[in-house]
Amino acid sequence: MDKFIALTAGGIALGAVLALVALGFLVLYKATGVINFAHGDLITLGAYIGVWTVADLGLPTIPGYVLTIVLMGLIGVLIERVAHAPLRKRPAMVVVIATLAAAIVIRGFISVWQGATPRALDSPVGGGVLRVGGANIAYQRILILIVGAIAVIALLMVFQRTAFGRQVRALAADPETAQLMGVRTKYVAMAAFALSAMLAGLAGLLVAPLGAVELNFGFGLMITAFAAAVLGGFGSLGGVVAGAMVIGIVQQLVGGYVLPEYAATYPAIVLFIVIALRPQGLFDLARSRL
Amino acid sequence: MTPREPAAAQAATTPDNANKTDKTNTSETSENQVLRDPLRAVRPPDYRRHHFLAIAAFVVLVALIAPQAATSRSSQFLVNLWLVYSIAALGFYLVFGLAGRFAFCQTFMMAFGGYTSAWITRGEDGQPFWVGAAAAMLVTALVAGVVGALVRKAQHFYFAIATFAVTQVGMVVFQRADGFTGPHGQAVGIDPPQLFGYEFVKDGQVFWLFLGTLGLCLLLTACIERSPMRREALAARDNGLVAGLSGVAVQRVQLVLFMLGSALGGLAGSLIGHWQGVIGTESFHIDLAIGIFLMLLLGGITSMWGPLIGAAVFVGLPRVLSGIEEYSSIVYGLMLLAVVLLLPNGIAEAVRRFADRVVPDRLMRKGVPFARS
Amino acid sequence: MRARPALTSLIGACAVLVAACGGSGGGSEKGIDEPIKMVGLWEVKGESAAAIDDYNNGARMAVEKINAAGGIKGQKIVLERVAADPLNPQKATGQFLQAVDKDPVVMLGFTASSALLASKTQVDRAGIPLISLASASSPLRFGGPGGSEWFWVVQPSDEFKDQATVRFAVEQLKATKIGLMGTNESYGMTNTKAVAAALKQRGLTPVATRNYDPTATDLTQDVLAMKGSQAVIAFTYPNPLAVQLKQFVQNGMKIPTISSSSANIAANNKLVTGEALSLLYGTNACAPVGSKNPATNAFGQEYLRRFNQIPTDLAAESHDAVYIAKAAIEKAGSTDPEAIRKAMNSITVTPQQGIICAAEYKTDGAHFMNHTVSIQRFGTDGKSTEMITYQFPPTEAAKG
Repeated sequence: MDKFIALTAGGIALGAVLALVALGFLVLYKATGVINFAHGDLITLGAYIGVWTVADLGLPTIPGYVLTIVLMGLIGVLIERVAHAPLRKRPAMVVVIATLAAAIVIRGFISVWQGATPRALDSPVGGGVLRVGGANIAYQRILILIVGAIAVIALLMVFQRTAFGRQVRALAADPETAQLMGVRTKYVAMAAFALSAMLAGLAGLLVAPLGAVELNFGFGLMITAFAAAVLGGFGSLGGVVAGAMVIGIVQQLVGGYVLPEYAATYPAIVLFIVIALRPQGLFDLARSRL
Repeated sequence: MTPREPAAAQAATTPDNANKTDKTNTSETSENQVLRDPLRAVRPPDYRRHHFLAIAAFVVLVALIAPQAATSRSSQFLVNLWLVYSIAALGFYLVFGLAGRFAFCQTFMMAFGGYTSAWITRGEDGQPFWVGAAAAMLVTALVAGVVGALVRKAQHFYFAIATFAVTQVGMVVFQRADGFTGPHGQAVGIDPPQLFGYEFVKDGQVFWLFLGTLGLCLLLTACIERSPMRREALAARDNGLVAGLSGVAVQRVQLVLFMLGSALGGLAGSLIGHWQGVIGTESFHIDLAIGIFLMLLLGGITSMWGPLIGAAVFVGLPRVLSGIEEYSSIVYGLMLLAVVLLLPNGIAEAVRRFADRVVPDRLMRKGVPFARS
Repeated sequence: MRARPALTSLIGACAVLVAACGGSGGGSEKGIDEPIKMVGLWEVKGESAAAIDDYNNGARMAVEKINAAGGIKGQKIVLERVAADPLNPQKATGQFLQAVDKDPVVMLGFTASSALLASKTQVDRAGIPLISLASASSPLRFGGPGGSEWFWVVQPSDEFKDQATVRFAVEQLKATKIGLMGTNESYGMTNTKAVAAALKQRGLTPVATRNYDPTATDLTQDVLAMKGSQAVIAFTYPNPLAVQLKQFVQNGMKIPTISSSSANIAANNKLVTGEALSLLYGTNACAPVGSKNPATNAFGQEYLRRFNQIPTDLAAESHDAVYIAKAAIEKAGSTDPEAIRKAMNSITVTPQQGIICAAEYKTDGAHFMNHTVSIQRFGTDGKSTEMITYQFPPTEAAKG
């Protein structure tokens, strides 16, 4: 029984991280129609910047994390200016390539800056555990849950209540009309890139203390999160969160009890089956910018 | 827009070899002819592009130039690598450039082809090389058929993700399936290629085999380019709904091209296996998958010569950058960004446009609009 | 287009000519009359995702020491480097050929066995002695399809490491219930299977065998499966090792874990600290800092002083590779590759000749030179102490 609780808790924590990553992805997609190949590397970059501020610069945790997130936001804007704004008139595939190029550059930069040796980021809540029904759940995972939940709710509020959110939804529904109605696509795009990068950075900061940070850290997360986004419906935030939870729990529970060696392939298999069965796209066709 | 293909000379991008491609369009029509006989002037898209001549010219040029230019071991190796990657990229051109399906599984097909060929030719009573290569192509075509049929309705990015998922699962399965692949996914001791009793062992010998195979693959692609299948594929790619309503068997065309492209990938994988003597899952990892995509992108999605140009850049670039290994990733990414910003349809297209301006106007077909593809 | 026989034979002739020219190495039978060029096939930090500086630094230290003492037979060593990508076998083969084009006397390196395996046909053809620093996996054994008469392996074979780990767990830690963990790709899978077989030979079955994805951040199910074991043997990379160790402690399981060089990297980079670290053991060729051997320790301290980093055994082996090359060239008396090849097969390199990471290096039937494995334990301060060293008998050549 305690194994079940431990696995479920792990699954929920994983789901929370995936939701955070997938939402970062989705925010950008809804606002600009861009599939950001560089998202995984942004996660890695966020984690490394976190290590730099806390371990190398010696800042205390909260200022260090805040600084990291701010820097990530700026990097997001930079990517928008370089890889998106000049390509606005081009087909979407070209923008995807540009984000891929950005991913390669980010990777190269991290490689030169930090090298190949993995770095550690200490957990801000320490390495202790909470005992729940006989299972030990690390404080860091609980932190992930709490922060993840806050972030998701905050995002939902932003999208429902604020002007920015309305503009993003308008752009998502009908770009031309939105522009005619006065939505400033340029600023919305910059804000969306910044927000997406900040979410990626936050995800990196949360997951890093679980293990260590190295170059491929974010890529695997991005792929799994993409599976979650596709599963849950690429259009709605709520669906993405649900998809992330399902993937996280499935991977942990099914991986724990059934054929554990192949656990890493489960998201891939689920993805394939979903796409085979519901190929019309799990989102509004008219919205498709691909 | 016009289908004119004037002569285009392309400079090599690697320091080790130069290749030239020729395209000549000799069908001309004068205004007089248009006025005299309108029906004859309104011809179907021009198939007088001299594909076969261009392929022959290409093969002859490479056969003459490469052995002279590439004398050091490493450059011979790079030339062979260029040739074999071109085959894989050509397959990807069929799938992505023509059929418009972004398939992320070309490396999986290469791996599968390589392993199949290794398995069939293994041991004392193993089959000869050509059986191995043929089996590799057949098996990969079948797998592509199954996968393609399962996700036939998936569009664009979803198709990419689905094929990526296939690659992920496939690589893990190859690791486990020791009996088929080898201990821990590594097939070792693969025999060098043999044809009619002649063994291709040294890089200089393998060069001829690869060049010949690439020539055959180019012929196959040329046949497709000259057939109605090309029009159907492009119509299906650009607007599937309208094409379907106009009588094009959209899914069938895309499936056939997917199978053919994957078969070429399997062939490339088999050639790599026999040439290197050993393959493992690391030989075909995701960097190569992204690389094949970039090859097509850089070289040009719209032309069948694009994959060759892109493969040359992909193979030659690390050599050019070898002094600054540390920053090579950054330079690579920036270059990619620059190409994307400045040359939207790749190098082949840029060259074509440049040549258009150079070649005199009388080669232009006037007043008859055709869809540019 | 069909191959034209005349041209083909011309090409063949050219290839043969190139091969002949490439293999001479610039020396004469009579003696050595010019600086000795060695090329290292490794990367330095930043060149790829797996690049570390250890190989380059260790070799440079050896070259400097030798040159300061007069070089080899009066000639200085010139050490050049070509970055060989450990993650991309085809690219590594191309880079190997670049190194061959430099015309060295001896080549050192390849840091990954997959790269060496992929380049084997080219190694055969180049005819330049290669002292490999990659891990000694069984496909590389001389006599088998992956072996070659032109390379020798400096690392103790994976089999030795596995057996040493099992011996230590059973004899020193007195464990009968042993759990196995590893990554689900070739490194992890190969070694978990080998250790399971070694355990079976002693009549033991593992408590559980779990292979997981190297990018996993949650290994709860694998960690919980190890409940009840007295020792865990792990074949993994530094990141998942850190995750694993932390989760063991979090779940209240104080079980010693024996890993390989990942343990060093994890400890040196403070990926694991405190209690989790005190339960960690590493199986390596030697422990440069913390070794019982004063020469090895001196090397480690010198490295630490110069480069501000704790060296792994890879740096020490790179250092030793240079000394092995020196001993072979001295025995051969010239830079002729065939003479060096014969010398490599016949010499025994001892600590008096400058090596520090093994009791001696002597080529066995499989072209493996190192038969010493040491086990270290890590303390909470991150430093390691050597617990014990094991000596192993020579490996035979593979058949067919």
